[in-house]
Amino acid sequence: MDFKARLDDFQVLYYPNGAPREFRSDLTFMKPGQAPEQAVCRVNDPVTFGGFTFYQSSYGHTVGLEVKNGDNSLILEAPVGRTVELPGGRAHFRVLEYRPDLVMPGEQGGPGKRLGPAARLAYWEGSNHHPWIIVLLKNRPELADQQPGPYRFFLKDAKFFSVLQVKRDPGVWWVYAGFILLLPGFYLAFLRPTERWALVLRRKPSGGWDARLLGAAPRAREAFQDRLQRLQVILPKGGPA
Amino acid sequence: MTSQILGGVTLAYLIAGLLFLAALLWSAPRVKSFALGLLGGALAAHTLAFFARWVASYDQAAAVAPPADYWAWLQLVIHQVPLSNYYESLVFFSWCLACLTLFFLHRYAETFLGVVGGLLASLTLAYASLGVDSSIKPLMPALKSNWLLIHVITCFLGYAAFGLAFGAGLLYLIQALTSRPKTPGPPLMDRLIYRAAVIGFIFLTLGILTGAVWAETAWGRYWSWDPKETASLITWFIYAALLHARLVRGWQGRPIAWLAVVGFAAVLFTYLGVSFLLPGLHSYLN
Repeated sequence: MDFKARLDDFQVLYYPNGAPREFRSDLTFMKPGQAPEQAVCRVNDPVTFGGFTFYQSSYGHTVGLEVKNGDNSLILEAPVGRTVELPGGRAHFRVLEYRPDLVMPGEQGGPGKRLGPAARLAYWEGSNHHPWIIVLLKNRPELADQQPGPYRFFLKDAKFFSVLQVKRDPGVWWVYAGFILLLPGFYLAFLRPTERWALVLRRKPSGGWDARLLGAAPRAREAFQDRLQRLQVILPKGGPA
Repeated sequence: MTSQILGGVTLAYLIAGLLFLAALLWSAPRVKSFALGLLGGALAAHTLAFFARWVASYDQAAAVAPPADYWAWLQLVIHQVPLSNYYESLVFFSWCLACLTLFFLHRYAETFLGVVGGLLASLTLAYASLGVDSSIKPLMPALKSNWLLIHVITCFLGYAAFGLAFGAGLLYLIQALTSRPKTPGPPLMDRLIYRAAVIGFIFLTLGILTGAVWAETAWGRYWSWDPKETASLITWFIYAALLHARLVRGWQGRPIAWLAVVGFAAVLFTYLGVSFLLPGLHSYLN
């Protein structure tokens, strides 16, 4: 690649009923000696630059955490779903889920209770792979005292990451040409099957000609039989076929 | 309003199918031409309901994001074609069945086709009205493509042609058991199975190809081995075997009829089974 691509922003837009309407990544392409070019990449609407096509493939959250161990404090960024090793290498954690706004059902069908940003993570130590599941609420940092182990996790912030699939395939139009070529093939195979005709002429001893018309169409026997029968009726009359 | 029209259409298809049956049993040409008129009228009303839903679907989408210029308007119209959920697909499947039935009746004038097509179309539409959520949902990002229209139309025309081949095949097999004098002779039925299978095969191939082009333009892959893609490939192989056996090996009659029945079971699995049982890119049922 002789250019650079930069992700400026990623957004999820929603319909009024809460269903997702659009996933979009705002990209900037920078090529040396050229003005930067901006483009929007959406699901079903890829962006092509310099022969490469960028597809909106997936997205997720990167969660910002503060991890305290006694007086030591550490700021970490952890993508959802990826295992992160804590300093020292003895303990690991993985953020399982992030919710920008966790809503709990209200009492007796009342309005839901909004708890704000929330994350769920698995934490385990050493080779003992039996994890603890820890729930973090950004607005309730005091709950961290209930966490097991020497570490205390605090949820700070979160941002999106966007996964783009990039492809360079100059052969696409050859494949499409192959697709299109199938159509005349079908036409020849099914709609216009091969036929063979022979006209055998023999001079009669009394003068004049004796004609025999022969035909065969091995791929469409019945349809051909119909035409042959029609011809047998029409031809002796001498009318137009 | 759309649901009332479709209710009437369901009834009209049913009556047309039964009238075709009566015309077949008592060889009454006037009953048949009346049934033909009824089927045509119901198809026209069905088409009207389809476009009415298209308009409603467009209005709903335009209320959220009004199109800015002519091209945006055209794009929104194409995207909002009512083929984006299970209910809409059933309504369109029924439409395809009725449409192909009329086409075949025109070409072959065989009354039993009207029985098969009318009853199948009525059954599908009744199931759509009674058992399926019919509300208009906003379009999910994965379906926002110009390819949706052509991909779904080709696939469902294929399914409908296979449905007619199945109906003819089933009648052929029943007839082989209890040879009734009034129903059309086996050679004709056999030919109808073949013609319907050819039309279905061509449309299914087009549906798979448009799907591959869509997948390439949207995700950069022609084929993802999604359950529906795999099932449609199996269906394609079964009908390819049917056509091959007939054209090259000269098979006729009962084995072809059985293949048409088995093939339609594969179509149903592709259409319904995969969507209900195996989630994937095509699970638009939920």
